[in-house]
Amino acid sequence: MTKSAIKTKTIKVNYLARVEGEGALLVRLRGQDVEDVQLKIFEPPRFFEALLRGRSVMEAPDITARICGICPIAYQMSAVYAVEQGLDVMVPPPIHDLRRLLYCGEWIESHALHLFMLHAPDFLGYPDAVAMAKDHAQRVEHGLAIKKSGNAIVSLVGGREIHPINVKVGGFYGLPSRRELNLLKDQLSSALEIAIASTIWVSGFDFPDFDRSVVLVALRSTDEYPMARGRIVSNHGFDLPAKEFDNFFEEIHVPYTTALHSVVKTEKGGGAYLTGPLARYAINRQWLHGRAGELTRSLNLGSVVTNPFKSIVVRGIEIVHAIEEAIRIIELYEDTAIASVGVRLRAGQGCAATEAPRGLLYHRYTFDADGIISDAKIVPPTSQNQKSIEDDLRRLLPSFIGLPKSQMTHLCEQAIRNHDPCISCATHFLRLEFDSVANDGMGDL
Amino acid sequence: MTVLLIGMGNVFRGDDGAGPMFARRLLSRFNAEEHADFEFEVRESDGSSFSLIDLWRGWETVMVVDALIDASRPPGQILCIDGLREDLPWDPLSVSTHAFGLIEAIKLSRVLAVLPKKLQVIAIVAESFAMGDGLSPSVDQAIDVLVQQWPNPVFQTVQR
Repeated sequence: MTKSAIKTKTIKVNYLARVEGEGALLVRLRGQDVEDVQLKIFEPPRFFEALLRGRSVMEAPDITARICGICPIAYQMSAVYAVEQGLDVMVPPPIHDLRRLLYCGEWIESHALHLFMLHAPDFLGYPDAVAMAKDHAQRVEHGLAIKKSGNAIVSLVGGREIHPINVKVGGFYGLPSRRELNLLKDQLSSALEIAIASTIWVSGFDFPDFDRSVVLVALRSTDEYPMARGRIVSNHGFDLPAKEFDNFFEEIHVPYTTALHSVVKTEKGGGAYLTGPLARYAINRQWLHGRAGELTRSLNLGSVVTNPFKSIVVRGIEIVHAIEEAIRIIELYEDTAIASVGVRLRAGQGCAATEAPRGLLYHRYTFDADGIISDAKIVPPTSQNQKSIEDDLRRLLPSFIGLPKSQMTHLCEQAIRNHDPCISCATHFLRLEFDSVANDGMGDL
Repeated sequence: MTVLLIGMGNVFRGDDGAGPMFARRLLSRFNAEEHADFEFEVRESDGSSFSLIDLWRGWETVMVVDALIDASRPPGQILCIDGLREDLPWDPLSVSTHAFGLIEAIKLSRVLAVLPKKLQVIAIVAESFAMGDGLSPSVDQAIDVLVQQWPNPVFQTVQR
């Protein structure tokens, strides 16, 4: 067959639906081959790495929290642990536990928002959650209730639901009382039962038949399903502390997107890798105890979930785990007078990686003797996942070439939503290179 | 009957802070003794759909005060829109989560049968949503006028 006789098809999605932030998709097909996949992020660069220069390290948690309205805790946690690592600040276990409780709140509300409002409609054939609610009102109410329980934790421990104000280098500005935390328990216990039922519900969805082996990267802890502590581990053999992140990963500028792509330096074939629930589950499932552990067994999830469409099930399991963890931490919490430890400024560099709901979030700060930041690097999970998301589409589409274009388009969007991209987080980078290629395509969709 | 008054917006985005600033000024200046027959509770909201649904769930009468960008109207103009009308302009929930706002809250609340029986949206036409706190003079003055007139504000009812 001559080249001219081969059918070509282009799938364009000008505005990706039901994702956080603004992005688009371009897929070019030639016959049975996927010629090109471009996850185009056109949300303007936000220059947070530049904003941090000249600011105090003590301001890093509050500044970086503004990167995202859905996952501000992740930025605050990566910031405080990075600065504390650079200044040799050791916080006592109760502060670690309270930070973990706060992170549980964010995992709960972020995962619930995605699972119920953004992703579930895909599997049930609805264009959006409002349409889905007409037939599944109770499920949507469950989602709202679960999200509300997560928001309640963030509000109490973080001081505010959006862009919390109680987190600082060294600990917290103020502590909740045991009585205040106990008031959350009933709400969380109720949310736990709903979350378990909801995870069973989503596990029964009709999942496209698609399995893919990918490089998975997540924190691995020695005694818990990781949120804020652990080494960076992959299923391809590397195991490193956060301070070696730059030796293994690099960010590259891609012409068609305002968000950098993060790749593994040493991997052949482009260095794509995946962070987030699928990676965390594969690397840390042994730390899923209680009802979350029971669910992984009763749902036969196996040791690794290789179908990215089933990420919704893993998110459900992580919601269950986060609620159980929150209850556990609350039950063990004792009133203490120590809200924070002292911080002595000196010149240095600090880095840390924590697990945002969407995946690994790396921060690195260089600062002078007065604690003034001279350089900052922030690598969010969506930057790290972009290339893997594009690879998903490259491998997925050939099996579905025969579908009508509208169905293929929906499948592409659904495949992107498997990874819950947070586009606002991804568009923070420092350098903006203007050239005609970089600006091409914005109106070409 | 107690009315729930929600001041909606972001105080760090210029005139988008009109709703919360109105709520705060009303609380500090309103003389409840002079208007004993008008009972209300005041809340602030960042405007996210889930926050709004959570706030107005169980309430019969709700008033939402928010800023509005409308180049065809003078800044500071005060409008009243019936929040229960079916033809409200809607950016579908199918766009990004940045768009989970008042309209989506109304749509979802209707489906979940938690919409208030009466929902008034009092919109103050804004001049600018630029970054930073502080209201433009026209919006600042409009808020003062609204507070002075409360609980009988004068505004233009929007039919379409």
